Amino acid sequence: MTLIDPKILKESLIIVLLSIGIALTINLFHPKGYILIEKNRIKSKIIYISGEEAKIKYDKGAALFVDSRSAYEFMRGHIKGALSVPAYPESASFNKIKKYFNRLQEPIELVIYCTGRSCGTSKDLADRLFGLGYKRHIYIIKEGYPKWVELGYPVKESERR
Amino acid sequence: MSPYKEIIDNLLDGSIVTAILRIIMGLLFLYSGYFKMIDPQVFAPVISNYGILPELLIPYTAIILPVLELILGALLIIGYKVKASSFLSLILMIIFITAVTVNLIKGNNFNCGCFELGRFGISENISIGLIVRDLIFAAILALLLITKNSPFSIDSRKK
Repeated sequence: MTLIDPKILKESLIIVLLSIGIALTINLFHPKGYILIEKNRIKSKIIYISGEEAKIKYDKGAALFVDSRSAYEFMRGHIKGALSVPAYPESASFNKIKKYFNRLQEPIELVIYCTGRSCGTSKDLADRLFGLGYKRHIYIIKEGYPKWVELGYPVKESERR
Repeated sequence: MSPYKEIIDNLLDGSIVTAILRIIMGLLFLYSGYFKMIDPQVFAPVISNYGILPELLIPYTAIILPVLELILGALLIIGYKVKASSFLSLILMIIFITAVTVNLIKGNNFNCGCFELGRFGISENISIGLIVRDLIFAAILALLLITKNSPFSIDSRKK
């Protein structure tokens, strides 16, 4: 008897194909499933830009600025004209995306920022937008809001100090 | 005939012992598949830790592997297509062993994501012990693959 009978191989293949079929079907309905639109992820990507580059986009009016920090931080001060779409908590984030859906769909570049180099919320928000089918590149200000303030660019700060 | 030979012949022929081993392996696969399936987005980073698969394939693996484990587990327990399911399980086990070994050699240390034992406070970081455990599982699966009969299974009823 050969160790691996062709019949075993054939049945194994069927089991694997069946698993793939069932798995992809389950994923469609799985509350924590993946949105398998990897093609979009390859095409559009995150581009990190400096504060100065962001300012050029700002001056041209070619970009929509999105603040991924918390609503409180946004209230304390933000880039003038930016939208507040906190990356967390997730539910709030989705609500905000829904609220600004039309604006986010405008044919305009998206520039996201948070508190600086080490904050991951901009990237998380960008990934979430890609996951929801956002198709263009997303720009993230590498050094974030503090750099913007440091460069003396336009901000809107809360009156309550 | 030496008693050892008798035991080995018994095992190779398929006995209640192989049936019990088959069901235990099935339960292990069911258990491990179930916990991985609950949250593919938790399982995916675990696969990513191993650094073996390209990024693009990770979500697919995180979705498909748990279901494959569940199906293999169920097939092993009921004893349907025992040869094919033990063959596939053996291949999976060999892949796991290779993945852990490669990472141990590289000096990496992370949770293996095997059975979610972390829930019960048991460390499951990759280690030599883990490889030994998987080798034992692999040996059992190889035994199931070469036994002539599978007692207490659907396969045996059909004959």
